[in-house]
Amino acid sequence: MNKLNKMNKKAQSEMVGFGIIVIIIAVLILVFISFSLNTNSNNQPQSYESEAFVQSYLQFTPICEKNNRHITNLELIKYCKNSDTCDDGKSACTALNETTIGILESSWKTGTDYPVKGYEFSIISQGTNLLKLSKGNKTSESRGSSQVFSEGLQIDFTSYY
Amino acid sequence: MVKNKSGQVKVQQMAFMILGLTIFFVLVGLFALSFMFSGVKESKALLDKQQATLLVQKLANSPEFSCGGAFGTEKTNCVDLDKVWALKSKINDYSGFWDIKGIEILKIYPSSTGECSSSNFPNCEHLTILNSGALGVDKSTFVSLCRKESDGSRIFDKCEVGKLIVRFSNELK
Repeated sequence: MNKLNKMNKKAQSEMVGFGIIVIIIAVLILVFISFSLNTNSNNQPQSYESEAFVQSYLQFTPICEKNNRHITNLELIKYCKNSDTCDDGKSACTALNETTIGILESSWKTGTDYPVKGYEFSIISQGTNLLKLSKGNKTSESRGSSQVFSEGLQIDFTSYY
Repeated sequence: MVKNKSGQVKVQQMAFMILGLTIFFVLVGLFALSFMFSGVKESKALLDKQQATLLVQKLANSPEFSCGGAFGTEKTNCVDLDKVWALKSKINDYSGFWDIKGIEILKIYPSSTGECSSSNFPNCEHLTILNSGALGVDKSTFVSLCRKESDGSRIFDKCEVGKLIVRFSNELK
């Protein structure tokens, strides 16, 4: 009887040990799953709409002439980078700022009544911010586009839903 | 007899343990799967939207709409407004060419108002190219609306920001 008790106790302690191992493995699996899901959610989905917006933004003809020639927004950005002025004496960066605000406000209506809750727009040239504009709220669901051009020019646009 | 009984107890313990473990891992697996598939619906909606945007972009980059090399280098998502204005008058020749119910162009910036007609073009907001009158689903994408403009002494390229809106007969699958 004593021998049976001893064996039972041994089996019970084995079960407890095994149970602890199972719990540790389960916790590790859960940590791994939550980690992999978090890294996935950080990947911002590519948005063709944002890409198309950035392209049409760059092709826009602003009210800024240079050397008696109408230029595009992309050229205006390069003039702003060199702290140049338009033919009418206005700073290229001021013209760029005004044009960008106008295009963003007209193109992306934000607020609780709209599907887009907010946006961020930035022009980075060789690591320095030429222009950074944002409006509305940042939410967890975002879509965007990042386009890189020659001479270290990068244009980022992210919309929040 | 005692040895037999203890053996039976051990086998029983092991059977319970294996059963418990199996149930536990099945539950963990179900939990993980439900987590993984919770975003599938949202992903499908996003993919549908992207597919629709791509279809509209395909139309914007077709020879009937695209700027081609008329405004310097070839541009994507660029609509030649002069070409489109000419297309509007010949749209009956294109009936059935595209399997769509409507094509509209909306000028976004700089802002303007009114439906485009021969009296106010290009200083208008809304240009209807094709309107079959049928119901459908509207999909749109941003485009550059480029045209040749004159300031009296010279002709230059002018591009504005707009949207190309296409009406499809049914929801895209």
